This record gives sequence, structure tokens and C-alpha cells, in this order.
Amino acid sequence: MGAPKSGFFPIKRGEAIVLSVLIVLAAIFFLPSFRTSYWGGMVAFGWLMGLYMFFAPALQLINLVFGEKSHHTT
Amino acid sequence: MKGIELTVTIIYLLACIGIGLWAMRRFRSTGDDYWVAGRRVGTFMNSWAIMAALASGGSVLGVCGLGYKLGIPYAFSMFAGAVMGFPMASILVARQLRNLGKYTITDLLVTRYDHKVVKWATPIIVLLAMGAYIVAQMKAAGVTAQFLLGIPYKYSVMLTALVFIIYVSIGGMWAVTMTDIVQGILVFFMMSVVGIVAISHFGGVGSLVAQAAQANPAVGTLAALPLSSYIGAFVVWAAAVPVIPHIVMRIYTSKDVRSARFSLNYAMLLYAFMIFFGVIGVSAAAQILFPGLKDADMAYLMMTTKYLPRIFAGLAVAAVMAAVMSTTDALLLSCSSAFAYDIYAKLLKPNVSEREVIKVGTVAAWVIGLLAMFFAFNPPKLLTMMYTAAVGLIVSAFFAPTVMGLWWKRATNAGGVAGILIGAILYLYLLWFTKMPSLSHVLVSLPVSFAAVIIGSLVTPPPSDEVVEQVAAWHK
Repeated sequence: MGAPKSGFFPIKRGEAIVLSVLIVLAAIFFLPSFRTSYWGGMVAFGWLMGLYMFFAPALQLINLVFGEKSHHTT
Repeated sequence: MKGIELTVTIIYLLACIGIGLWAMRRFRSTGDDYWVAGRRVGTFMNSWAIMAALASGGSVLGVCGLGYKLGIPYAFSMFAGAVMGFPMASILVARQLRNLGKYTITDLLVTRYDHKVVKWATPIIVLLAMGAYIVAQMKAAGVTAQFLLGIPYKYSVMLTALVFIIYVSIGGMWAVTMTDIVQGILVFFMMSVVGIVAISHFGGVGSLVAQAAQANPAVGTLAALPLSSYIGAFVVWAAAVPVIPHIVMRIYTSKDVRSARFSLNYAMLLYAFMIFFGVIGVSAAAQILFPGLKDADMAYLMMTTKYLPRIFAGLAVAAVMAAVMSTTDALLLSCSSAFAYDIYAKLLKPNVSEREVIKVGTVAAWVIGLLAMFFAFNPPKLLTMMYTAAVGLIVSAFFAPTVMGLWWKRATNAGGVAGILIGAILYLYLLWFTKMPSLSHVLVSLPVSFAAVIIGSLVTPPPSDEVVEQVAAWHK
């Protein structure tokens, strides 16, 4: 019973950043200003959520590729 | 009955059965082969298979119907949630699941929380929720074949159900993977083509949305439902992906951790392209061309017949069936594994041979598939809403115990049990006995499940060193 019994397993810095960015961005898009302003017939929220679908996996792929590169160079 | 469309569809269905037979002859020798395709599926194959597993009938008929009826922003908020779930799964669970090297979500929870309640409750929740998901998918197949082939609804449900039950039961995960790749490519192509053709016909994305908003301003607004429903739609899917059984099984099939993590994200880029152009093209154009559709889920099929030649209408039927089957086959396999592997082999008859478990899995696939088929004869009204409600149950029960169990060293068996039971029961109570806005129930049940894991863990002794070291090994 000597191992630490509290705390979390460590998460890689890049992954913590990706996760935080994705959560914060989604929260921002739900703010009232994006739900009431219209861009070309649709609320800004709609367009932003559409773009978010591309951004989320792309960001994590970039993180995975850079993570591998830095792993190889260290 | 329409000759060209029917011929294309029959060729497609026969090809699926052929792939099942091929998989049975070539691979079906061990439990690893049957349940997780021998853990040898590479990145390219798994990307398409994962995309197809998520791209259900709901992602073709359902998402276009949703965009048409409740507005494009609602459809996007739900599917953006699903897309966000994949980077989340890639970060939070992919490495640990692949390193655990088992077959099901139950394996993970039971290994982490060694308690009888977890052993029974987890597969039962999987069977209930995924059963409802399968019924919703069968409706999609039924309405498609009825509309484009002229076959009565019941017969088209039976035809589709029998084909995927056959190839799942005989070919296991190899058959599911190989058919999913074909189905994924077909769905991607047909959904994107219809969407892009409609967009170019109306002069581009911006022009089409502007014209649709003139025809019906609701298409671009958030007015259809309360805000909590939009947030709930996003959260349900974002939290579902890391724990939903048929996606978890795809992670187990990956040849290694790297492949699992890359394929999850490649799959979502494909999915994002398909959903973005499909929803904008179909939902917006259908508002202009077919205002006041009674069954919004028909929007995609109406657009197909409007813009594409008949041979493509046949491919559109095949594409919707492919979307339905690629998800339903994976769901069916996850249900049959929940019964055969998690309940029969581990609880009812321990020490049973691998061969017998596969046989029980085959019988379970038939029983579950046929039961779902009978329920689908009286279909739900709006596809996506029904299966999203089922997914809400999975999220409420499994997300908090899974994530906390993998990342929080202090999580204990009591915490896991509390998280699963309280999350599931509260969700069902809110769904059936309150009048909360659609899909918002999870906004209450999910935080409560997290609280239950934390409180249940803190009031009981910490887990042993062995448990902490075991979880630490999954992180490597």
C-alpha cells in the first residue's frame, strides 16, 4: 500500500493543450453573441460548429505528428 | 419495383454475404479473430471502418432530416460533438484500451473495478442501449428501400436485417471490418456527391444557405429547441465516442497504439467532410425544393432522386443500407460479445472453450438481430433522436467510471459501481419521468455520475498497489 493513492496519472503536455483548446473553443461557440449574430443566413454558431468538425481531428493529428517527431529527436 | 435500383442493391447485399463467407473460411479460428479481427487491422483500413461504424443511417438520413427539421446549427452541434469525441478518445482511452488488449468495454470496467455489480450491469446496459440503437438503424434501411425500391417497409427491414445478421454471425469482426471499409467508401462518396451537386446547383455554400434561409429562416437559427438541448446534443456524442462499445471494439482491433490513435482522427476528417457538405447541401436545398416534408428523414432520398440518374439512385439505396449495416453490424457484434463473452463465458459458464463462446456469440447475434427486427416493424419517429437517447444511457453509465478509472489513481470499486448505477438510473428516470428538453438529460446525469465515482471512492479504502500498477502499465 506504499504507492501514492491520490492524484492523477500524468497526461502529456501536448495532449492536455489539445483537450483544453477543444473544450474551451466549444464553450466559446455556445456564448450568446455567436448564437444571435448571423453570417450569410445562418447563426455564427452553426458555421463555427461546422468548421470545428474539421478543426478538432486536425489539431489532434498535428499533435500526434509533432509528438512523434519530438520523441524521435530526444 | 424499380429494376436498376433493385439490381444494384441486390449485388451490394450479395457482396456483403460473400465477404462474410470469405472471412469465415479465412480467419475464424480464435476468439481474437472473431471478436477483434486478430488485432491486425492497419491504419488505412481502420480509418474507413471507424468512419463507417459511426456513419450510421442516422448520419445519412438522420442528419439531413435533423438539419431540415430542426435547423443546420442543431445538426452541426450534435455531429461536432461526435467528431470532438474522437480526439478525446484518442487522448483519454485509446492507448489504455489497446494496451489492455481485451475485447469489450466491460473488460475494461471489470478489470478496473472488480465487482459483481459491474460484471452484470455493464453488459446489460450495453445490450439495452445498443439494442435500441439497432432498431433505429433498421428503420433507416426500411424507409430507404420502401422509397427507392418500392418494397413494403416490413420486407425491406427483413431483407437488410437478415443480410447483416448472416455476415456478422458467420464472419465476426473480420467480416464487419471488411464490409465496413466497402460501406464507408460508398457512404462517403454518395453523401458527398449529393451534397456537392446540390451546393454547386445553388451557386456555392453561402449562396445556398442564404436562399434556404429566405425560404425558411428556421433552417439557420437556434430557435427550434432550448439551449440545453443543443449543449446536450454536443455533450452526449463527445462523451459517447470514448466509451461506446462498437467504437471501443475498433480500438481493440488496431495493430498497435499508434495506429489506433491515428485512425481515430483520420476517420473523423472523412466524417467531417461528409457531414458538412451533406448537411449543407441536402438540408438547405431540400428546404427550397421540398418545403413542408412530413417525414424529414426523407430529405436525402428526395434530393437523390431529384439530382442523380437512376443508377445512382440504386447506389443511394446501397449507400443508406451500407450506412445502416456498417453501424448495425458493429453494434450487433458488440451486443453478441456482451452476451456471449461478458455474461455467458465470464459469469454463467466460466472455463468454457473459446470455440463454444464463438458458437454462443453466433446464436446471440441471430436472437438479438431478430428481436431488433421485430421492434423495428413499429419504428420510432425521428431516427437520430432515438439512438442519441440510447447513447445517452451509455454515456451516463460508463463515461465517468471509465475516464476516472483510467486517470484517477484513487478510484475504487465502490466508486465505479456508484458511477455506473447512479448514472444509468438517473438518466433513465430523467428520460422517462421528467419533461426535460430533448437530449439535455445527460447534462444532469453525467456530472452526477462523476460525483458518484468521486464520493464512492473517497468513502472507501484506496485501491491496492497492484491495481494502481496495473493501470499505470496501460498508460505506457
